[in-house]
Amino acid sequence: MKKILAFSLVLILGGGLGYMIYHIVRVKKQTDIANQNKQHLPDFSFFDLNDVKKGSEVVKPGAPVVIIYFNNDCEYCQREAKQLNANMHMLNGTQILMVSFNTVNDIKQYAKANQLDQYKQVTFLRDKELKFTHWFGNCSIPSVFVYNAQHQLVKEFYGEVKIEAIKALI
Amino acid sequence: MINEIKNYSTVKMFGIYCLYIIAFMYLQHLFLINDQLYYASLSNQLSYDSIDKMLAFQKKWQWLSYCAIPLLYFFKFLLISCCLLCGSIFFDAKLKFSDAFKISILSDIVFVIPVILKVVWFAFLHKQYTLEDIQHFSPLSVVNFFDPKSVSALWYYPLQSINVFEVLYIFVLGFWIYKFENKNYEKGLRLAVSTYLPGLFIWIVLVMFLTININPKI
Repeated sequence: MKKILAFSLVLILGGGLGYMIYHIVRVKKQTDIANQNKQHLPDFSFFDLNDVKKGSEVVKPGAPVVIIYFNNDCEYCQREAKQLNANMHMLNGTQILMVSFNTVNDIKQYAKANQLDQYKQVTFLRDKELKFTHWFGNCSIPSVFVYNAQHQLVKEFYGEVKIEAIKALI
Repeated sequence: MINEIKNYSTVKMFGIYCLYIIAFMYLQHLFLINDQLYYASLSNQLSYDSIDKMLAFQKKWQWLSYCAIPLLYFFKFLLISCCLLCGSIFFDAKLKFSDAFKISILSDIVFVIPVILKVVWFAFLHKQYTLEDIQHFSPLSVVNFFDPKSVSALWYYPLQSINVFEVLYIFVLGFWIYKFENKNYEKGLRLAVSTYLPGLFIWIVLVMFLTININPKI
């Protein structure tokens, strides 16, 4: 009886192990592709706040781009937005794309509460289809991707980041 | 002596070991990690205001990390005991659960050595360090053959886990199995190798599985 139990345990563990290894290999492959693709601003596709599909045509050519992936409920994202509002003058000439998987109302509330809706250089986009990681790889919330004027990735930050650190890169 | 250890209460042994671990953790915080270190290490990315808030939050909840120690170690010893018990069925050894639990506690003392080394290294020998240095400190480990910044987060833990102390741990595990089982050391070591190594392998894969799902730096 004990041996049957031990064999069953070994089989269950073997199955679990096989699944985990398969998952690691699969995700690693996807992440490697995304990591390679995001080196130049990818041809993404999100939705604007009127639910119209928007691609990388929203990006102005020849200007640095900062992409911030956020969630309205995240405290760090709120702090990031406050810092951004207080230091927007540092990012003059830089286009800022704020992308979130939140509802349109939540995104509007976030923009209004942090007074980010007053800036022409800030564009809010909705990741309705949850495809952000497909283009930008695994990320935390908030994540900040800094692209230079040639739209080459200069640096990515995971977690909150001060605006001076972004400014220093562009 | 072995009879005294065998008859000693498992709960008491576990409690004393947890107290030691908590004391070491406290010493590590006291000697190595201070506010200045956080400001120096994080100010490239975070504003001082954000670091202040983070430190306040950390200080408020630090007691929780101490409270989590008994729970984490209980699960660690439970898993190792399960591995040993499974192996004892195949090896026809008559190991009781309380013995297996005691063996895993006694063997774990090996892992206190790298913690002491860390405190001594940074407190007395390498006084200019950053938070990253502390996080990446893995004495006598394979990961030291690589540049820590070039190793992907996915591979960091597996490489870090291949170290002299893991090898020593297996020998000590074998020694205590031999002492508890009254069989020869070779048999004890064989049981330790054939149960702990697969267990460690599954654990490393589990950590990699969690890392690839959570950590963006892969």
